[in-house]
Amino acid sequence: MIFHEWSLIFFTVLAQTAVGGYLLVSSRALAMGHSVEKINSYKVPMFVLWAIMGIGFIFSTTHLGSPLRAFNAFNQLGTAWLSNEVFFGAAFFAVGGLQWLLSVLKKGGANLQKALMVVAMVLGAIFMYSMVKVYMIDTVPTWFNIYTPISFVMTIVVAGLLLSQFVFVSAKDSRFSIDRNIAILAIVAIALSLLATIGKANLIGDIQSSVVKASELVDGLGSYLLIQVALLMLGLLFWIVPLVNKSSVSSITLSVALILVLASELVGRGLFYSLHMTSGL
Amino acid sequence: MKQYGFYIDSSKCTGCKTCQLACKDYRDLGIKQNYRRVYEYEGGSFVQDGDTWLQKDVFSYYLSIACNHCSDPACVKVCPSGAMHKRDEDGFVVVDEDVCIGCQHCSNACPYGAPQFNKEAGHMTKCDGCYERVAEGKQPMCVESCPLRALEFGEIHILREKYGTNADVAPLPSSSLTLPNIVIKLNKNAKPTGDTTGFLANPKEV
Repeated sequence: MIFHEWSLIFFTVLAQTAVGGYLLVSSRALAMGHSVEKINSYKVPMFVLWAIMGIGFIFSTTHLGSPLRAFNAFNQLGTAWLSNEVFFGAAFFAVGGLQWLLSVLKKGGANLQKALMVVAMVLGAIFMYSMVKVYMIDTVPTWFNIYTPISFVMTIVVAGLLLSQFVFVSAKDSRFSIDRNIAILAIVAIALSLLATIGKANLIGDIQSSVVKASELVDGLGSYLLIQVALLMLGLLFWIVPLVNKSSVSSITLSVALILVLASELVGRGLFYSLHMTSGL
Repeated sequence: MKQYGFYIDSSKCTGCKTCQLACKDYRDLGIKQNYRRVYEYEGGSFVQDGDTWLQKDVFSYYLSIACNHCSDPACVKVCPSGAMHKRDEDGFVVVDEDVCIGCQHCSNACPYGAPQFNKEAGHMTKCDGCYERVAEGKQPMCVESCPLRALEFGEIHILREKYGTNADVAPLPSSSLTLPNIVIKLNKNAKPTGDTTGFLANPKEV
């Protein structure tokens, strides 16, 4: 069973999905110089994005032994990466959420909303960097390696691309060339993601302490890896087949693809936590 | 700054676990919490010579490990609440149980298994070096209880003058990672840090 850390599995994957999606949606709005009407027209699909982020945060608090003391998590801001992660995550949620609220209430002009977007994007990027650093602990050889940042970034990119396309299509602000370009990026990103998974599996075979072999930490490691890859491939299928058929991409097929890709990422993250060990006892 | 530490004589230790149980009794710990743990590292095999089996390189030895009150504690570095802290007055690494949020990240980081989560209370607990006893001039309970006199406690610079500076032996991690304040006298069967010829023989006890 690889889901004993289920609250952190859901928190990290959902947060990376939401931040990845937000970075892409907001970058496009800024680069294309969207009018305030256009930004406001995104309010319904963007609710989905913020709901994903909100559910992620709820999961993060269920991980705590003493959730009523959750605010103590800010105490070591600046010196402990976990404090930084919580702070910048909360700040991203607050600033991005405020921008979404303005778009719902049709308050504040384009400039104010775009300024908030830029701030939220920066906060989101620091949030993601902190999340990587939380797990880069030099006493944990299965985490303290290049595959932690690579696999986290691949989740941000793959799930973020898919969520952003879901937002564009749901807001009826997409066209064939955009859908095609996102799909091409998706294929490249998923190929890289597969390479990272294979590389990580390879590295795991080499890590051992006097009392633990990393490759023996998870019963059926190979089967879980197969499930992870199969779900990702199935998700990719739902993602790009409508384009191959030249039929229009619908938010329904994208939702199915998103669920499959997230399921794959959750399995991968479950393995990540289950492969925790220290260099000692 | 004062820094206390432990001397662990692995050549004397018989793995009786009196230290572990004296601590459990004194601190009133549940089944799953052990501030001190006795690790049994064993390996090797027998060879057949005609009708008899001969001991070739069979080995087994014990290491009694609590918190090493490291000079560069991995647990303190990752703690988000600041509950896990290193005391200036005696160098003990202690968790403030009124501040800890129970995220358990310290136990992810510690390579000695020192932080012990108390699920009912919802926060982390651990060996605090019996700092209250030490402040009264007494020894920590585990040290006092050892029938083999295999544990000693004191200021680490004095222990190092008496017994040397070794803190490395399998299955412990390299002491360069966290700078533990322990001195280990090796058992005659001791294997070096990083050894993979043995295994942990009592995983359910630690």
